Amino acid sequence: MASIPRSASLIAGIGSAFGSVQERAVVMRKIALPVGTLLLVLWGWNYVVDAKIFPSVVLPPPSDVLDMLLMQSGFMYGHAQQTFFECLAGFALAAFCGVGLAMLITVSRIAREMLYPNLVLFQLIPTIALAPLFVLWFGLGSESRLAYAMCLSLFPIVVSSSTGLMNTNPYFVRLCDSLTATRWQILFRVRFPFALPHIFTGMRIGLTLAIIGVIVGEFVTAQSGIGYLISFASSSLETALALAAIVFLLAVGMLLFLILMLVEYIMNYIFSSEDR
Amino acid sequence: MNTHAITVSDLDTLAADTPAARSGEDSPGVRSAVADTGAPATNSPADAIPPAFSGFAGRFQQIRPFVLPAAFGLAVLALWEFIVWVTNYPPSILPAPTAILVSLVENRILLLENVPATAGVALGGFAIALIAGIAISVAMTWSLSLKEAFYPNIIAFQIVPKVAWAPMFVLWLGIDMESRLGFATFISIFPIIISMTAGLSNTDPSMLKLCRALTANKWQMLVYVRFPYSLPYLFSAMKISITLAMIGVIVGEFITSQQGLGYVILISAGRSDIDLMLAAVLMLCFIGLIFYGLVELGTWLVKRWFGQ
Repeated sequence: MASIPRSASLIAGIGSAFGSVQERAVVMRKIALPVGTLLLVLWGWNYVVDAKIFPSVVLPPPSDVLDMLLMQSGFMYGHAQQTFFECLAGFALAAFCGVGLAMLITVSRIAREMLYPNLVLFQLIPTIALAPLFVLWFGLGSESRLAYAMCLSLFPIVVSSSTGLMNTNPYFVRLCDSLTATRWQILFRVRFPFALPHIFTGMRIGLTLAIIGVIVGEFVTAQSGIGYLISFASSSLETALALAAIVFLLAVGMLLFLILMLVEYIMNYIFSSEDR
Repeated sequence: MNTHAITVSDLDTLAADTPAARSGEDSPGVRSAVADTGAPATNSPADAIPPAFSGFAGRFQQIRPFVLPAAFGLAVLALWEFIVWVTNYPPSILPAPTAILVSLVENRILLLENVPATAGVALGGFAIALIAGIAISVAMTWSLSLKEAFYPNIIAFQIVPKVAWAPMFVLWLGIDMESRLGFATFISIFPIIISMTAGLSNTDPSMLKLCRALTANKWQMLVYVRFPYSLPYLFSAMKISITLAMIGVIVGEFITSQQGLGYVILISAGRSDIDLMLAAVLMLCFIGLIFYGLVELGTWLVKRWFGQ
């Protein structure tokens, strides 16, 4: 016990407030092992670079990537900002339209039977291949990437939301039916809260796809943004810059997921804490 | 242009037919009219349905799930065709559906020539990802320390959109097939590792306890209990993974390649030959469907094998 450093035991303490020594050891292990592996990989990377197995163009040392991150952060921040807002806007559009479409599919039988099989069929189209078409339609600006990101992330959101909305416990729906609730009341007061986990599952997939859409769009349009930075840096053999841009992209992705988690938390709070 | 017009009208009549047929089936009057003439109405597809669902309303309920989506899809295509035809929209921005089909037929040799480069690399990447992914997840199930060391890192790594790594693969493995193979493997291995690990470690614990009591060793439990139990997880992951392998190859071809359907798409978009571009996309759909079918077939075969 005494040999465990204070900060580590503090971390372990968060995991199990009343834990025994063994339980703390388990929690320690759960944190120490992955972190240790990560450090080991970084060390191995550094070692490989030092041993000059690969030329530094192929694999720059981690310290170079870090230098690049610090030196070029202002330059990369501008690109990251653009990517971030494009992802966010494309995803928000897709989420809005996707949930709306899922509601339409749930409420109207004819819409469901007309649209749903086509939506499932449409998912078979490799949408990634359509990126150049969006550039042609919407130009080289943000619009093309936004529309493309929306198109990519719409389908999982629709499919997963409509699954959730349609699979609400039928007893509740029947009860509300017999209490003379209208279709729309049932939709917003019963089905929607019940479908929230499904909706957010779809949104998580959708967000990933929106980021992919923006990045691929930036590969294709090659004007600005993190995707452009990565492809530009690697084609001019600035590997450290490309890796630093990927680190920036990681930050953008994490921020977007944090926002989504926050929204999920708020929605769950709104729809579960009250009993009206 | 001539063939163009013919197919346009064909499509329009097709789209017009379906709602007409639908309203016809809805009204019982039409049925009696058909019966009065005494004509053997074998030309109507609805007649193939067994007599238990006789009555046009009943029959329509039967075929409704197929007719409605098909009618909607055809209506959209017909509207698209019609708009392009009436407004004389420049085909370099939005070609008519029939123009795409014509282009598909005209350029079939070019397209088919480029199929092996795309499909082969995608299948190769998928196969490597499948084998390596299963091996990695078996290793992670085998040793808890290994799992605790690597699994959180793998999950964290997932946050970066993996397409962002495509240019790095070009840098590392060159502009030839290897880079696309490597990237397709890289992008499609994650779902397999994650699902397979979940499947292997979520095996019914009472089953494992029973086997342990019957003195089965770790290896036997893995092969005879955990592995069959995790197959449904594996198959759902395979469906995602094969799609991702295709995406990986296409993105790889966008970045660097001299052949393949992704290359055809990029070049034809650059030349504003959207007919050809969408024909190539259609070709990709066919390949995707075939791959999906292959995975389904594999699922069915393995289920039969393990099902007994």
